[in-house]
Amino acid sequence: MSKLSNSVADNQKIIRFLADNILMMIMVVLVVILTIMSDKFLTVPNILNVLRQVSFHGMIAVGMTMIIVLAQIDLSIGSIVAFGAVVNALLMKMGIPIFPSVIIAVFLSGLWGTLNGWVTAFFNLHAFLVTLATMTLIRGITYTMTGGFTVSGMPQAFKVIGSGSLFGIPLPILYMLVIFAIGILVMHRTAFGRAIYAIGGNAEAARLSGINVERVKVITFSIIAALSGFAGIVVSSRLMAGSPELGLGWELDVIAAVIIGGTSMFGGQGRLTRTFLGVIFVGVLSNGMVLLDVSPYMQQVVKGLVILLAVILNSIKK
Amino acid sequence: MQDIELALSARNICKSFAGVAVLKNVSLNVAKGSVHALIGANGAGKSTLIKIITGAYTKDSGEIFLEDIEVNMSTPMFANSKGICAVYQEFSLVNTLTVTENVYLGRLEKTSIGTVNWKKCKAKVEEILLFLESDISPDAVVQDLSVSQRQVVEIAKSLSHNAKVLILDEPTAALSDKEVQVLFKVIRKLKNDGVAVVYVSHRLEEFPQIVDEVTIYRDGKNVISLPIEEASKSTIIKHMVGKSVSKSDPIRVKQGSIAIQVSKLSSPGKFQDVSFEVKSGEVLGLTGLAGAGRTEVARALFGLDKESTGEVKIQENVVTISSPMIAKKYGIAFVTEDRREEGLIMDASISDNLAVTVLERLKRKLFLSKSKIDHHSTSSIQNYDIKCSGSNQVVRRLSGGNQQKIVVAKWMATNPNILILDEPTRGIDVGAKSQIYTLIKESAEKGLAVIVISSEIPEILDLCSRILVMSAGKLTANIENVDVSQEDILEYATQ
Repeated sequence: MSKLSNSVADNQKIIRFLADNILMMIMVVLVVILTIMSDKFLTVPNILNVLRQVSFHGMIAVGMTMIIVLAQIDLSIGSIVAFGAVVNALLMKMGIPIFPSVIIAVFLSGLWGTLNGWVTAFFNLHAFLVTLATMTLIRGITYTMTGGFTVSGMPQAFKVIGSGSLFGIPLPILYMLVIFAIGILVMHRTAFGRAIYAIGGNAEAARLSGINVERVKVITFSIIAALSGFAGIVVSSRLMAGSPELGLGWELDVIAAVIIGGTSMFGGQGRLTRTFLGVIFVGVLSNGMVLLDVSPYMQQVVKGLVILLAVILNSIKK
Repeated sequence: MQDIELALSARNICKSFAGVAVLKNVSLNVAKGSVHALIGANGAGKSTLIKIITGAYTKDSGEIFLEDIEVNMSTPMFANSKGICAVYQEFSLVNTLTVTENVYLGRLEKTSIGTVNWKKCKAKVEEILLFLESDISPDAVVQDLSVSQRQVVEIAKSLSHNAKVLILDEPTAALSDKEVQVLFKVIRKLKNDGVAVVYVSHRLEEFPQIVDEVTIYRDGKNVISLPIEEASKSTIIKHMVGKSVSKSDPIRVKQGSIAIQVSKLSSPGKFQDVSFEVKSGEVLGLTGLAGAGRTEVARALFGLDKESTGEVKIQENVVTISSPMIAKKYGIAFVTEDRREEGLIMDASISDNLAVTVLERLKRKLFLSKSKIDHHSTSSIQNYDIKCSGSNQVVRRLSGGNQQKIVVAKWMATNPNILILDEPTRGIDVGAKSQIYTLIKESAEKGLAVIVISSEIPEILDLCSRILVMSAGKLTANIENVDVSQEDILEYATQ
């Protein structure tokens, strides 16, 4: 009797383990295949290349994980990426030194999140609706600021922010790693982080426990907006140009990486370490497909299937 | 037993979860046209058995007979088609749809051209509602109905499946006394119609009115089945807990200064001119029938009612409590009546749930300290006797009593001066109940001002040194608990 039920329990454990880790396993298989099929894949330059490519989405994915654990969503981040880049470019052209200019641009980007969070929390609206509106609003303001043109002619020294490196590692990768590290610390080791999990799990219970739900929402939205603005500045530094078209469609890529990492859209559950894997997974997949000469159209098909698989696996886990 | 026609007979049912035996050779025999109460402390195996009978779980071994024919309940749908229906505490209605659509959800009658035959459906629903002597319109939208009306809709849904066995899980928990009587009338009608009713409830006082036979479970085993004539409340409790429980005297400890004073508290449409005070060390009872405004007063004190007016003084200072955060700062703790929706994060761990009220205190400098959190959860689990596999267990998997202990524990951790408990023993077993009572007593001894809100008058009489009674939003009594009877309180409650 008990033997039978034990084996049933064991089976369930195995299924859960598989569902939990299957993306990791697919990634290992992928890496092995790519290593065999392309001698370029497992080389330091290529690995750094993959990491740098995902670093911009990766920085924002830290904020997006917080947002989704909070049972919210933010569609406006792509527009804030452009906003941050353009504001910073304009400030520098006005003659403001690089460092203060970046700080101001990140701060102003963050204020958009404050607005998102404030409207969401105090009018008790779904963040989907609020950020759908501000996505268009912010993009429009960004276009207006430049008259639709790309801002260029920034000081040469600005290039270091996106193209520089430390101990041979490109700076954007280091930014991403630092932001992930701080994010993990915040989510698991601070009262604020635990409040995010509590609110996402049961907002009413959290409120009745004396947690300031509104404040947590406002801060979290501000964090993701500031991260988006910063990511935009780093990209514009690589391009040495502040384009109002930066970040188009990024919100979907970032949400996809978080979902592939296994964070539940219902809130209350999710881990940044998993999001990190999700981000890397997307990067390895794209890079591999390029190395293997898969057509760009087919690449989209594969990405779509992977997201679908991730969503299905998450539902099995439950 | 031989000559009685059985509607349902479950024999030697066994069920284990992850190697832990939950049901050990459990049986249940329910006669046609009878009301059979199924009783047991939480964790005794009642819900598991019901889920097996209704096809939600599969049994490991044993047999289920319906009118002497063995059936294998594979899915809830199959059980429905065999005439086994259950109405759970949490209704399974779509609130935005009409009564008719809910009753026929997923099996609306079709016309010859494939459209919905509303006329036929409505006529059938009308017929069922008429039989139940209910005045609910088939076109009413469920969200406009009261809780008791929704329950009638659930029962109508069961009857539309030609229910032969109807399982009612804590059907009176959310009803006022008057509504309970309406429900009992419906149950009697069903009984006369030959339906076997399995009645799961903790409200033992109601049994003589409606129940024919009781079966008691304890720790996944049958204890005894008795006709109601032989099953007095104390007998039942004795079998449930395995030992007899004595009636306690109200808690009286030395009272201190006034901890909270409420003057002319009002909220439009909810309650008017409520004034009272609670001293530290005092256990104040607040009772009344459903809808009297008890919970609403508590919510206003906890900063959850934006429209309330009046004056609240805490330790002689006039305060404005506009949110739970501020209430917490003033040392108020509030254990809500709805632990699933408002008290707990059901899918989070015990440890997370315990920490949520005291996050600031579990910090070491800027960051939460793992050792402080661990220490906090281990000591809470120990102090409040929370039965679990460890502090990482998900709260949803615990019994109601243990869940309630977590809600209480997380609030006691805030070191409150004023403890408000709203229906602290609703839906929890006798063992957990007496632990909550002990806790209330200890809190009073420590000098807390305790307000206990309960619709169970015996509970209020057992616990509280002073009793407030509300009726229709007004305070109708503020009396010392000396020689007060249940009848006296009902008198005030119906004023």
